[in-house]
Amino acid sequence: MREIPNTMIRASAGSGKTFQLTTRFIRLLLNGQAPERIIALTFTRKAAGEFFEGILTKLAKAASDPEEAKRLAGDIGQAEGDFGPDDFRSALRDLVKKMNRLSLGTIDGFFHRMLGMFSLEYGLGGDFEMMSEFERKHTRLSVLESLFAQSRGNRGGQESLIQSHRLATAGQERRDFVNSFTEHLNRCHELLQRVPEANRWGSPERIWPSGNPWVKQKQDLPEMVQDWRGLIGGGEFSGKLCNAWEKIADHLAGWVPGLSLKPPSSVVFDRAIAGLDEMENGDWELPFDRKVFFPSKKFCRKLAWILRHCVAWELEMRLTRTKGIHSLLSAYEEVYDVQVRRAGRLTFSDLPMLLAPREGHAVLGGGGPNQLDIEYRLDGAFDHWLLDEFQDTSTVQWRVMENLIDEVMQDPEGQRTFFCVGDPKQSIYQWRGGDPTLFDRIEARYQAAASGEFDTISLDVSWRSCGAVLDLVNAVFGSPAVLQQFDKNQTAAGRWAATWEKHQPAKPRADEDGHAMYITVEAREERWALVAHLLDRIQPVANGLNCAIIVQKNNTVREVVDFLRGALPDVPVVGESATNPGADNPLGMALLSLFRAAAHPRERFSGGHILLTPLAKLVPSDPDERQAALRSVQRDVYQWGFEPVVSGWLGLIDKSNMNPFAQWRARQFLDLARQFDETGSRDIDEFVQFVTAQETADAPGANVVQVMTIHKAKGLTFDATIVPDVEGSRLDEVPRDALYTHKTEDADADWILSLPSKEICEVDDQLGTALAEARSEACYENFCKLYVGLTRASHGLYVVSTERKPSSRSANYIRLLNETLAEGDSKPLDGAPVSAGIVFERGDFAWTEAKRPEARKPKAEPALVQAGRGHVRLARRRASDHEAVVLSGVQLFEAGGADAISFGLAVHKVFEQVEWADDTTLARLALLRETMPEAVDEVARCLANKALANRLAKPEGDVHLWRERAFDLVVENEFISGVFDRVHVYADRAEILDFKSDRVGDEASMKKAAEKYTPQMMTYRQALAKLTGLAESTIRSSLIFTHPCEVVEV
Amino acid sequence: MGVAPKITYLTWDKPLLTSATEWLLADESSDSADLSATLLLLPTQQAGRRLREALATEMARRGGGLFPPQTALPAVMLAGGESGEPIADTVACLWHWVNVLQGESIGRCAALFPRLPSVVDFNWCRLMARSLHELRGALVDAGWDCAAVARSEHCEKESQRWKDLAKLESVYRKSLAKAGLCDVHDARRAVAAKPVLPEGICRVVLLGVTDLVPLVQSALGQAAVQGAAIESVVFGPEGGESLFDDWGRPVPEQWCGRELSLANERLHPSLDERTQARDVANWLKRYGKNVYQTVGAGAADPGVVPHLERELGNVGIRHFNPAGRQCRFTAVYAFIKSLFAVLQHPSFNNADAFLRLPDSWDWLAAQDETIEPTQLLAGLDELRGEHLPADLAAAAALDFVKRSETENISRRITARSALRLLQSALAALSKNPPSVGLAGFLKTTFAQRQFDSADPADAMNIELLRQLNERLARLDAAVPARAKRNPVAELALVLEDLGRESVILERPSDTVDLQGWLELAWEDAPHLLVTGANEGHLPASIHGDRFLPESIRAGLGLRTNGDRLARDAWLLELLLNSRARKGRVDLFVGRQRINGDPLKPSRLLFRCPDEQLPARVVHLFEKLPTDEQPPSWSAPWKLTTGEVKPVETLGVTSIASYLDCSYRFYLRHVLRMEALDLEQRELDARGFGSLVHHVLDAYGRNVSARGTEDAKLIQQYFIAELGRQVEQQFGKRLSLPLTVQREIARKRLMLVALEQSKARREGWAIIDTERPFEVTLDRLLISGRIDRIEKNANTGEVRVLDYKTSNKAKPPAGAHWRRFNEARDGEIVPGYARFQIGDKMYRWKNLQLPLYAWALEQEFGTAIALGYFNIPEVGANTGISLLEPYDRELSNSAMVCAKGVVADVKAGRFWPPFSKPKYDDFKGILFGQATKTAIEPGKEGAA
Ligand code: SF4
Repeated sequence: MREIPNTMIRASAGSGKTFQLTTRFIRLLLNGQAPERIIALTFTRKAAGEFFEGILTKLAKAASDPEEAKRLAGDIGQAEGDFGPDDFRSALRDLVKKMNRLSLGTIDGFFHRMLGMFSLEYGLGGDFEMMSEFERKHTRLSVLESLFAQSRGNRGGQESLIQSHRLATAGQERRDFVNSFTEHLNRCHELLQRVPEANRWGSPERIWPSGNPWVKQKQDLPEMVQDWRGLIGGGEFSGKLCNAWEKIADHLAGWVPGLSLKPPSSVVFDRAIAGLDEMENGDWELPFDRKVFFPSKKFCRKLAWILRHCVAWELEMRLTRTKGIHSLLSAYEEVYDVQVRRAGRLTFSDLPMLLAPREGHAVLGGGGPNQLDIEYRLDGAFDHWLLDEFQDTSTVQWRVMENLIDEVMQDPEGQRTFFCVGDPKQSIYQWRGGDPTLFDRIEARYQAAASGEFDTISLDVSWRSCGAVLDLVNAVFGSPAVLQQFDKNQTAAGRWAATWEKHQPAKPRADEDGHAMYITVEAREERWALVAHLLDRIQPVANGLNCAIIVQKNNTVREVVDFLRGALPDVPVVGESATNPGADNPLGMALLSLFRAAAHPRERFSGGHILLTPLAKLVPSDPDERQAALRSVQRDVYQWGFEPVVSGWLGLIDKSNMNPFAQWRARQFLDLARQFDETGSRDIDEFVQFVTAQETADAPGANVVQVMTIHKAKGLTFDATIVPDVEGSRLDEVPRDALYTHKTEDADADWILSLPSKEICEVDDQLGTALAEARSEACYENFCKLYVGLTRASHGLYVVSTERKPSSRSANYIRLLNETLAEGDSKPLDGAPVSAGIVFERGDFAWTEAKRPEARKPKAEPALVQAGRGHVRLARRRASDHEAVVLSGVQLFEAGGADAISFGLAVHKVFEQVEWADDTTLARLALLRETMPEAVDEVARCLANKALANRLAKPEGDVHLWRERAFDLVVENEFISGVFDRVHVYADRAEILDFKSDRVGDEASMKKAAEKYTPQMMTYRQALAKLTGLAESTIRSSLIFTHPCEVVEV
Repeated sequence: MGVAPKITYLTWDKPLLTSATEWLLADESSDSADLSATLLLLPTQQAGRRLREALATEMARRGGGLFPPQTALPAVMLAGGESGEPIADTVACLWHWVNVLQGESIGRCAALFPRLPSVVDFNWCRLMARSLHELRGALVDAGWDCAAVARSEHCEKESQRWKDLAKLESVYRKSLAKAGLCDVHDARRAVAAKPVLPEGICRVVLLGVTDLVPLVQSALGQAAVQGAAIESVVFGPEGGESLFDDWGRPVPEQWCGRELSLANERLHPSLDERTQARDVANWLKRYGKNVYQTVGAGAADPGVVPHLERELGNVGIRHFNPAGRQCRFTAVYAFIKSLFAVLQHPSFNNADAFLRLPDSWDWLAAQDETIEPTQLLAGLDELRGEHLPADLAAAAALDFVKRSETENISRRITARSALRLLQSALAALSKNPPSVGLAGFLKTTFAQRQFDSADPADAMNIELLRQLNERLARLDAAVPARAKRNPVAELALVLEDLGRESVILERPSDTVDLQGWLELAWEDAPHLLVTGANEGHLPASIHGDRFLPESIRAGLGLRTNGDRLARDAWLLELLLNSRARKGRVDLFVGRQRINGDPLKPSRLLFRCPDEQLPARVVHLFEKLPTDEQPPSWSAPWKLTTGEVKPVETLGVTSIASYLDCSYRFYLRHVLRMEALDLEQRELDARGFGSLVHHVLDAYGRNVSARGTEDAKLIQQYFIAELGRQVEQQFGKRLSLPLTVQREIARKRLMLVALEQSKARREGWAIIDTERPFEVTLDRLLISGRIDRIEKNANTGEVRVLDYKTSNKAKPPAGAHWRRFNEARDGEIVPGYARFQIGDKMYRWKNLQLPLYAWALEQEFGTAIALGYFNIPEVGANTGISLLEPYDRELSNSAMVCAKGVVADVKAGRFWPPFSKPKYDDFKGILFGQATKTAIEPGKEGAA
């Protein structure tokens, strides 16, 4: 029997997933498991951070307080006395010591590490980097460009690309090619990576294993219709019905694939297509207008023939389009792979694909590196797996880990464990590959394999929300009968019901006051005004509450933010995903226009825009001068990068123009500029795109109202949430023209098809089932989204929508809310700026005052250190500079690579070899000729000059010779460091010789050069005096210009 | 390696700088000290700079000067020497690795490459080459190469893999040998066996070097054998000699659990890099002018440094980064990289990006002085917008035909000249090795430029270009004479390597140095602020290496995580102890990276006594004060146009824009604020429309073509004319998107031909096409251009048609008016734009067709039919759609509206803006709240 069981937890919102994970971790630790052998993975970096912090602080508390120790011992399933503070402390000590070896992090991070270790095994060449979102977009464009360029190189390639595009847009004739291509890419590139095999895309063999039942006729549709039309007026039908048939005939005659096959609101058509089978057999009954008609066999057969033809035609087009999309994307993928992936630039979605390539289903521990390799390169193995947010794990991600976890489950000693926690009710990442059915599949599989040693637990006690909020949540999701109405197929409702338990508030929350409301307004536009009103009632700033407005789409975030900024100018409103600090405000846009105008002299938008802003005063008003000024902006950017230039311009803007908000954004703009500078690019257009695209979340906290999408809100808790964006279409709506992936039992992609419209799907068994499944999936995900949206609040939950129109039959959120929440007639909401009715209410606004924040005590500032450095930092004076030269560009590229600097150095090197010049000197320098021929020549020329050679010859008397001698000196708080080229030191005097290889041509330029070097020589004399103790007046100094072979005294 | 150095043990109760200086000068005389025969090996360059300063200061205090010791990093012991062959530099080594990897040998290394990509391309080889080169670099630290490892027992676990590595290594050595070169790592091993000390050096001192690698150690051992005096100075706690090994390195076992006396108040948890930097800046600010003499700052996590630079800059504290500036951040590097990009992919975009760099202007000017930057930039934009070139070659081959007298093509000609110059330069670059091609290119570029090494930016450029030249020259030497040169690949290697270099600039006096962790050892400021005290940096550790996991590292004697921990534990204790008496150390610990990645505090920070551990944990994870909150959104100023510009002519189509929103009309049509689409890669709606227009216009002018009723003939005409138009505008080499679009246009025109033939058969004949008009209305000139006027030969009717190429066919009525909605339109639609049909209220959206009728009234009377010729996507309704209902009353109402607009425009009424336009070209600068972000034109702005 295992000491610690394998466990799967379904944890409802707020029921403490993090608590479960951290407790599990501690339990393992206290059971003597080595922390480095535990791996815990979650999805977001934030969760990963909280996880580590949670474990440490829990242990710390238990280590210092016997009561806490008791409680924690209980939490980890031990008797109270089993572990005391000392045990927790030593666990803590051990954990801290091994901190560097812990594997607590994100799935992405883990995959990244794995790929790093096994890059060669997975076909990568070496190091790789993860691209940022901006780079990803940029790369996408450049790959497209290469794709187009490559295809141009070969006719076949070009033709096939055009052909693929034609197929991919079969039934649609768009004007734009690049746009539609990018659309396909944005939506389906990832799908292609997951399912690269061509034979799964639009392949009839897979959809209809026993043969495609739909055959197109050779005849033209209009002719067929014409033929059939003749039978309408034969007296079989009532006049009204005849009319209906005529309408259908008109519609069908002009029909082509891609258009709706059904004429607008034609009931007869619905019946006809639903009765297609009977019709073919000739025994079709048509109830119409309270009568039943029995159309003739001939009529039936002809009509059925037409309908079959249309369905077949449409399906043919769909199959073609799907294939076309595949080949289009594959062509892109091919270039992408070579140009991006193989060059070591990856995205996070590449990781699992690389780690679990499909062909051989090679996976870690499976066909890839084996377990031993992994342990070896990881310096250890994982005995215990903890997975968080399990419902978001995708099939591919699971495939990467599957074998490793299987091994754990099959551990013969039963010492290794698996633990996962998640909430199928929060599966809102299906579009990204999240696979909520994984929960059930894994449960079934491991239950069977572990023969009962696999605990599954459901948690439905909420530590997050108080009773009022949970009342609303329970009311909405607690009645399966209502949910069923939204999902024809019933699977979604069934799945929901299977895991749903009524939510209860946990002890501490149960007694707290809260407030939950569902309010309706008359028109959509009025919702934001009501939101503003609610904020006014809640007073998040004054009451120190963190408050979020949760909506469905990013665009809505923007809309709400714009509205609230106008309506509540004093409340800081932050769009969690929509803050483009560079471009969402006048200052940022003015700067961007400045840069754009600098790069694009004839762009009148940015040029004109600058003139409408305070920057107008900073640029010349004359157009030509202005252009010149803009070019120098460009030169500055080029020379120094963006940050310094931005900073400079910010400095120029009149401070009176900068309100606190603009100053805030100015800082953020500078940050963006700095980030961009880190790319090394000086491309202004790229910079503008970068700044425009960067979204930063302002650090959220109390006192701001955040507006965010449901997806962003997942995992977060707020004191109050307003959910004002629950309008929308039916919950089981499948997006038009999207690709549908049919999956096998184990969630492998079986076939992919661009599904035709409902009426066509429903005449085919396979497609009918597919559509129903797609709808159920959509419906389930929509339940999940609403659930996530409604379960973020701890105390205040305010749901706002438009009134349900009595006429509306749409099975949408509004209907769901009304059917589950309405309690008699709604009451008016007093004080609201628009007419608003309260449909449901628990609690009241009083809760908002319970949490008033205390004022923070300012921290006392610590004392400053009074001492100074032992060694004062000095200014530096460069005494000698062989290098201090002005070079022309040409010199820098002088042939042979010997640039002026190295020439100068070489000349010095050669002179260093000269001890006392005599007849043998030249011969001795010959050795150097091999490496520095030009320098040796130069020196030889000098030595040939009598006067010069004399200066280097051994003088009479006692003399010390220094060559290339370095010195350091401090004079008047300046640090002087230099090198004497050559010094002759006598007992009572000395002589400094300094070699200069400047290419001075004439007397005048030599004079000028000598002047330039005079300060240096003064310093040298000073230094020499210090070092030798000689008086400065006894020291003579000379420059030797090697080019003209001249000596100049200075 | 038997020889151990003479160890001097100094206690660390004062700054290293002080004790080291005292120790070095202990035996020197007062006026001048001569240490020139001593080589000091120090852990960092910065330590050398600091020590020389300190020595000189001390001598100055004694009243003398100094012949300084030479200072260097320990690796200097592996440099120089007289190995037989010249040494290949990194680029050359990589070149040979790539060469090997592109050969057959890799097919025989199944254990090393279990999964080769289907195509082994240069990119793969380049990364692999770097990886192998670095692996060998790591091995050589302990004197190993792959072959030796493969032979040893250490690689037991992956022996086959190492055998493969050894195999490749030997092929690689042969490749180098053929070029007469020696690998840089091999050379180091050779030198270590026979080290050569710099001239005049007879004593080598290791000063606080805790990272001494085995290979250097053995080199020093050899030097000792050759007679040099080797010494090591160790800094540690009183009586702590046994904590260090024979060479003065901390012994890991001794350091893995030492307690540190560190108070919670000295540990500052902080949110991220930025808040850490801000905290430091606040400290520094408090010191006022004493800051430079009292405080030192450093970052264990280099990611904090840029933030420190920013925040210190904000509070006006001078700072200096001793790590230098990376070459890849210089302008010249960006220039070469951009050139490389065009060379690699000669797309128009890459060419365009390159020609926009100021150095390119110099390069161009050197060859053609008529190319002026402003003209060039504008020309490039026009060229892209008008001609959508497929690539550089297509752009350079364009011909420009004026469509009208006034069209200015000079800018495009300038741009084309530049592109042609670039094109031929690229040809030269791809034919010649970089040492000729690239060097020649740069020489031309910089010919007129003076570089002054005293100027920091120029010094940087000089150094960069020098290093570049050096690499190019060495590469020439490294490539075997008969090898095929691939300048693009070679350049890729050179650039990548060059980008990794840093250039250290002169340090100005009185600055706060932003030092790296290791550099802090030699910082003597009494108050030390250390940021980035996070695990992963302090200590750095490696986890999961593809070649060298911890176990094999330990076996081979390479540096392990344990060694790093010991070193950092030593260093942290040193920092604390040397300031224990006077001074303090504050450590800043990030919670997360600025991008949100969570961070852990350094393990070292938990080295407190057990009973303090819980409190330490609580302290390090305490709730952080909420960061400053963003102020609410508000516009700092309002867009101010100044005086209203008078409108001289009013375009018929712009009236729709006025009716939409008068303010935006002003921006768009009076100030002519129009954005360029810089990412345009295919025809946009307008471009596509005018292409079709041009074809139809030509058709309308061609008497014989327009005369026929035969649909086939019309189709033929369209096809030929479309081809001609496309070629004239876009040249012979079309981009792929254009090819597709031409195809789409063709399809649409095929259907137009059918309709046209039908119309012909009904008797309609074109009598004019693209007719411009200018007529005065209430003393304002109204201008427009009528797509087509036709007359029916049978009935004598006249009708005016406008071509519409949007995807969906539109009935003209829907485009000209819509139902009036009080809630939406009430505030902004003026009375003159409202009218009634029956009892329903409507508003004008557009007056295009009515104004055409008005303009033609003189000529054709009032009974003109008006309509659109819709040319939508195939499948929608191609053909003529008339403006219906349209009667006298409506046309009167339209004229009332037109006059109303004219009056308003003349009166300068461009306000208020409409708050919810469907498409807002100005959303980017009005932020959805025009009245809060703009001022009525003509009004002066008080912000
Ligand atoms: S769903 Fe299909 S049609 Fe739509 S973007 Fe993706 S590939 Fe294209």
